[in-house]
Amino acid sequence: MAYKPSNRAKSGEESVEPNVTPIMNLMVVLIPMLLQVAAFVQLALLEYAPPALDEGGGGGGDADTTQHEEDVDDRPLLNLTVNVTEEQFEVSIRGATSGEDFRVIPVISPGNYNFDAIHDTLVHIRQEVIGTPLDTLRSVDEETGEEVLGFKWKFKDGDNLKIAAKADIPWQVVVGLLDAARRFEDKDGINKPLYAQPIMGRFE
Amino acid sequence: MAFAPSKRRRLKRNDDPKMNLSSMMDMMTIILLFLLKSYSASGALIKPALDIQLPQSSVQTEPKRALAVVLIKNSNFLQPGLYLDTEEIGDAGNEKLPPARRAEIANQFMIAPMAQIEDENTPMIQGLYDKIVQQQDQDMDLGKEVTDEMTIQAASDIPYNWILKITATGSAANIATYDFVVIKEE
Repeated sequence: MAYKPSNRAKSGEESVEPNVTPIMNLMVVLIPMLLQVAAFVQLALLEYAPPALDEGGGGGGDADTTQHEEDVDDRPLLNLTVNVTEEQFEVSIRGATSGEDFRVIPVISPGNYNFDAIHDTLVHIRQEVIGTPLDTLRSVDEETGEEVLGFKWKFKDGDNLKIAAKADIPWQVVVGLLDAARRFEDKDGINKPLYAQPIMGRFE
Repeated sequence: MAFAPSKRRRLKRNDDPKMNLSSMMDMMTIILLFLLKSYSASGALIKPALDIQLPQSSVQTEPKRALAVVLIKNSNFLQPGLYLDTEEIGDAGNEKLPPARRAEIANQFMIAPMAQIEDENTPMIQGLYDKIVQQQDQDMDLGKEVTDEMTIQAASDIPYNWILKITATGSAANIATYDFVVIKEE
C-alpha cells in the first residue's frame, strides 16, 4: 500500500516575492530630492552684446575688418531699423521714412503686436535686399581663441538690426521682436541666423 | 473532552501578514522616471525672482553664473528698485521671518531705488555702476577674471527705457554681454 502524500507535497510551490523594501527606501529618498531640485519653469538666457562704445554705436562692419580695410571698404550701409510704437512696427532701410523702403506693420489689437508679419518682413529683407553672402570671413575670438565664422554681405552692416522702441514699450514686446529677428528657415528648410547683431536703442 | 483542532487550523501558516508594495512600487517608478526626465541641473543656477512674471522667449541658451540683478517693479515683498540677485534675497519673502528682518534683508541687497531708475535726468544708475565696479575690483584682488557679463531678471511689463538704462550703465562699467532671463517657450 502506497504512503499517503505529505502535506508539504500537496501544498504546491510557493511564489517567492522579492524584498522591495530597500528599493522603496531608495525611492522615498530620491523622489523628495528630485522634487526639490527639479526646475519646472524652464529658464533660458537671452544674450545681448551691444557694440562697444569705441565702435561708434554699431555703424556696422564685419568682425575682422581692420581699420585699413574699413577705410577702403566702399560697401554701402543698409541701416535696417525697426521702430516700435504703441500702434505699430515701422521697418525702415536706408533711413527711409516713406516709400518702398519703409513699411508699417500695425498692431493686431492694442498691445498685441504682429510678430509673424515682422518676421516675414525681416526675412524678405534678408533674402531679397541683402541677398546671398559675397564671401565667408574667418576670425579668431580674442577671449576664447575659437574660430568665428562670419559672412561678408553686399552691405557693410548686413548683420545688424537696430531696434528703436519708445520708452514705455513693455519689455516683452522687445523680447518678441528679438525672437522674430533671430533665426529663419530658408527655402530648403535650413535654420539660419537672421540678424546676428541686434542693437537696442531708443525711439524719440 | 475538547474537540481535536481541525486540519485547516493545524495547517494554517503562522507567517506575519505582509503589505503588498507592488502597486506602490509601480507608482514610485513612474514618478521617479518623470522627475529624472524633467531634471535640469542648470535650471537650478538661476531661480525666478520673487513674484515677477518673466517674459517668454524662444531662446534655448542655458543659464550660467554671472553678476546677477533683478529689477522689481511690483512686488508683495520688495520695494520697487534694482536688487542684487542672490539666494538670500528669497528670505525677504519668507513670512516666517519677522518683518523687520525681511526689510533688513531687502535693504542689504538693494542696489538702486526706483527713483534712480526713473530719473530721466541721468543716463546711468549710479548704484548699479558702483556695484559693478566694486565687483570688478574684488575680482582683480582675488586674481579672478574680471566680470564683463551681467544677468538681468526683469518682468515682462517693465518699460523698455529701464532696460536701456541698465545696459547703458553696464556699458559704462565695461560690461560686454547682458543675459536677460526669460521663460523658454514650449
